Amino acid sequence: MTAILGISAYYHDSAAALLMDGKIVAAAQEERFTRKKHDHRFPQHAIDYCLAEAGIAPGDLDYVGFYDKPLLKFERLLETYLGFCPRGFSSFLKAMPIWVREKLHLPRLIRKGLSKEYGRQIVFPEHHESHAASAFFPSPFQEAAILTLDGVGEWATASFGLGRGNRIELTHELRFPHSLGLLYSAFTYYTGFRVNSGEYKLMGLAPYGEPKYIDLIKEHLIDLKADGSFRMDQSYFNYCQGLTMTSRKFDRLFGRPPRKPETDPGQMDMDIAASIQKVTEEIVLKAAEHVHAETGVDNLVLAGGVALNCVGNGRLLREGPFENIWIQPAAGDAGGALGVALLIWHQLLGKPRTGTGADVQSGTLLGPKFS
Amino acid sequence: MKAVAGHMANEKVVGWMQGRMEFGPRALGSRSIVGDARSTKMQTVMNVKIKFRESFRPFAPSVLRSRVHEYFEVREEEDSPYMLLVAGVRDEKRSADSMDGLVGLDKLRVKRSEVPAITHVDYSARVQTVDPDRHGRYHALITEFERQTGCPVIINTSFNVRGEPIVCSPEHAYRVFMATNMDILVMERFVLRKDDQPKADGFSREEHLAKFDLD
Repeated sequence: MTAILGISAYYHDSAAALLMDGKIVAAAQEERFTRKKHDHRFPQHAIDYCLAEAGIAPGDLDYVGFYDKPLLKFERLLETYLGFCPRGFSSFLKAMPIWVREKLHLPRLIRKGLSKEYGRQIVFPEHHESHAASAFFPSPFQEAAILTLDGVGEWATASFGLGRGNRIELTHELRFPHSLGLLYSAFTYYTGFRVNSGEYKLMGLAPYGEPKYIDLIKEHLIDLKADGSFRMDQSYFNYCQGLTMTSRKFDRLFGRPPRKPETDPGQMDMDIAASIQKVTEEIVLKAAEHVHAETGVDNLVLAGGVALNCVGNGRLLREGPFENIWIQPAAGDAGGALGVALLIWHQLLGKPRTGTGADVQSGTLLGPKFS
Repeated sequence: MKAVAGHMANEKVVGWMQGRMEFGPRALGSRSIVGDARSTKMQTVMNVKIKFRESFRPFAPSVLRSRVHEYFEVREEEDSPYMLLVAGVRDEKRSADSMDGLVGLDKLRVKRSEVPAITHVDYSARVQTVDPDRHGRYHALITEFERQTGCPVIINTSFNVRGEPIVCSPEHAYRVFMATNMDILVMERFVLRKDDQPKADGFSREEHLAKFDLD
């Protein structure tokens, strides 16, 4: 038996996933055990659960993978902070301790979390490769275009490519700071919701409003190209250098400061929600058209946090160019744990996929059971 | 199963914990709170008295896959087991009540369809299809609800309160059950009724809610 453990941690939604001979036997998010929502700490409980489910010890593991490249991410942070120096200094000071204390010592932390019983190498693919693997390998398709859309990993904020058989290849990417996930999160912040969890509420609020700010967004905030790629005018945003998502210039453009959390959203928040939702859908549809034209296949798989925008997904299926779409149910960073494990099994070890015509995510019912 | 479906049809709110926990952000019938989607009061009851969250937030339906196209604008037997697809409620299921002239949250007061609790104000719904292969006992529950009421659609929301991660263990589930206005708790083959529970201390709502930061 080949046992492969995948881990995601230290951003949001830590998780672990375990494959035994390529079969997904367990996967879980750390928050469910620690009772702390979006817990980003080392997923010790989730790892322990996965090993217990399979009845193995840490020393029985053949491979361990982490869902992104911490050093490359560190380089992005440094370069971004230096680029905005000295304005970014306060957020630099806030971010550095956890990097110096934990993220740069990951291999050591992982070995410690595995009771020092695991002595083999640890695999670190890129963030979007993990997302892409989590979208394609469990899908029912033998061939599919892959599109990943999220906030940011190392540098990539979106990527696409092709999956065929037991291989994936990402050929194009959009780079930080231009990011659909961060654009949506900026509006989540501005309308008074919490970034990285309130995006769902913003989407739910959108149908109450009228999309009357679409032109304003497209005129000032983003320069949208025909292929769905875009550039964001960074003078309206503050996530590169500050501790907020939007800047004063953003407030002036819409004519008011961000809504205070826990006050009732007003009609303007609803109209803003409707507008950014429509713009997001337009970007996703344009990107999908482009990916379809470039790859020439009729199946699409999606992952990354933006793939949880199910309103956009519905439009993509109805109006988009793809015949069939499969979306990784743990599309956010938690799914990266599953992605890296599958990447090791198929891409690194060259193991074939079993083509059964159904997905192999088992209804995504992969956590503990009590009876 | 008969009794649980009957409680649902009587507008009781049911906590439902079965089998292996979901991986990913959505509750898909293993750690869910379920209720009658035909009820006009259920969206408010669930938001305000069970989840303690903002009243504008919509709820999602679980629907038998074999009948999904009768209620929603999707292909026949369209597979959406992961609740990642939003589709319109079909015209013939929408109500004639007009939303003209209403703005913002006033739209919530209109009975929008035959299944108002899961129909958003733009007549959309975040559909989860349920099938016998993936969903076992959850499929059996909705099938029984359909047998009693004719309706193959129920409300499915995650088993937690605002700011809390979805429950994992029976202990987590029991705490939410006791700290909210939930009526029935089903765990595997056990059915607990709120009226039968001892009014034990240590299940204060305030204390439970205080454990979690607002999301």
